[in-house]
Amino acid sequence: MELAVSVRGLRKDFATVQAVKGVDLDVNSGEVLALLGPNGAGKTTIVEILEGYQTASGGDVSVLGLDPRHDRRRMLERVGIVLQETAVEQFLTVREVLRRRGAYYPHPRDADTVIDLVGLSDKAGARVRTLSGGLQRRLDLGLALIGDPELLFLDEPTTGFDPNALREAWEIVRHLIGEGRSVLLTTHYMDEAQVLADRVAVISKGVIVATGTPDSIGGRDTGTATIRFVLPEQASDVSELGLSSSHLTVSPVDGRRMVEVETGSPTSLLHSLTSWAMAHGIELEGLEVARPSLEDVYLSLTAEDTE
Amino acid sequence: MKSLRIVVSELWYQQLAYWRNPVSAFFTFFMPVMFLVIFASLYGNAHYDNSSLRLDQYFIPGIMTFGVISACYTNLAITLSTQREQGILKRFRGTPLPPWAYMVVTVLNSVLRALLLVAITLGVGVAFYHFDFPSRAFAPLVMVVVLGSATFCALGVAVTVLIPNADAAPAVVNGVYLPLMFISGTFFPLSSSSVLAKIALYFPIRPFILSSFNTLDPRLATSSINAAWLYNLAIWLVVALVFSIRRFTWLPRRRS
Repeated sequence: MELAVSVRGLRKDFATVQAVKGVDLDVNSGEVLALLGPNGAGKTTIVEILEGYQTASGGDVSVLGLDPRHDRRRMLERVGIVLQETAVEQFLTVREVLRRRGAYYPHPRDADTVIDLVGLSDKAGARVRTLSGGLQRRLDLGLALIGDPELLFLDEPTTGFDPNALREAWEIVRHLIGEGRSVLLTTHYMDEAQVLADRVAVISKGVIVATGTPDSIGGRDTGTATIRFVLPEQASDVSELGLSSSHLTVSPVDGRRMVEVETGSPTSLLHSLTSWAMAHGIELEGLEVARPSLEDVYLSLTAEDTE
Repeated sequence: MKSLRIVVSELWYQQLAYWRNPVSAFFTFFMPVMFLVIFASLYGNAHYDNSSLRLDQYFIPGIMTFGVISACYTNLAITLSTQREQGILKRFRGTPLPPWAYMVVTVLNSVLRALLLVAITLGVGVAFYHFDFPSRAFAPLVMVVVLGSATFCALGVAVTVLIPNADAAPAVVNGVYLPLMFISGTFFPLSSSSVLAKIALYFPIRPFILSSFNTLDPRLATSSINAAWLYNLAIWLVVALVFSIRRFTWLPRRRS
């Protein structure tokens, strides 16, 4: 498959720190890749190297087959960038700001189409300074789209949003994804990666520590599952149930005995558990099977960073 | 052709944005006029250097240069460093707009404002204060104003390199400008034998004032300008230009 972004052995050294220590990363054409990591892990440095704002200390990067430093202008004609902070001319209207930006591109989209796309139709003639922060951020997305880019860089696009604005922004971004653009998104919100990304790359201290789909990353789908239930009164001890697991704990909760079993083969364990319950005609209270959440995986992968 | 179209479009939108902020526009254009009215009433019918020349003929060109320097040097330095720190310049660098085009348009805007200020200052002088504007002075004055605008625009861009953050911009900009403005004799004539006036001749403000004053001097039959003053402005222009090209930055300074 054609690669929208290709990164090989990327390094970036600052005077006192190594911000990026040998990163390999691909964004396939038409794919949304979320680069997930705590503040200071190197996300923004990587994206700014791809956008051509910073030079790499080592390694190879290619964006739409171009070198972001040497072919910067040609690359920028095909790329849309949303930076962390919004800064738009305050005294122009929404439509004027989009038309002004459109004039920089060889094949701009129609300003009013983009205005509809980001849901600013009733604000098209309003001056930017009269828009709320959330609406200005939508305009920012619109500005990134006016040149009809093949690839979008979204650098922490929703930091500081309230939950409503967050849902709205995700809705818009999902709509854009539907148009078949490639997207490289950086975020430190797990749920954002879960909702928007086809693939997630977790970065910690300048190194990619895991990549995969949001559902499988870090062995989420194949790793240990946790089974919980309340030990029925009919059973005097948990050993009566005949569960074969070494990771089994019983803890009293509100006068009841809560059982928690960690297992690599939840199917067979559930089978023995439910067979026992059926044989005794017992409904198991509070029965649940849980996979580690993306957040659990992320926290364990980046544990050293957040200690 | 494409570049020209971008420059025209960009110029239009920058002008539009500028005039829609009337408070800022009002003070830019009102201040030189206010100074003119104040100094005209302070000086009354005083004469220049014990000669027959009324003092208005000196300080009105002086205030004109003040307007040009405000519009070019002060305005440009503060605007560019604020835009740099707010990330506006960084955003422009993330689009295919060529950096030179953005800079050319921003400078052109300052020059347009400077020309408008020159017209207003001299116009008010002629209309209300009997300022004598010899018609032969027109062409040389345009040349002096264009050279002065270019030099002070280049200096405005260059000084942003010395500005560490947006809060410091007015302090740095005025800290360089105001002392030189006074020792250059912007609002009142200096004795040419004074030490300060001699020092001021090495900087660009005094040569700009003297060139403007000489060009407009009604006692002279021709607009003769001392070539040394023009060389001075040209040298500062080249130095500031080279310095700017080598050192100007588009990204905010790292906050550490």
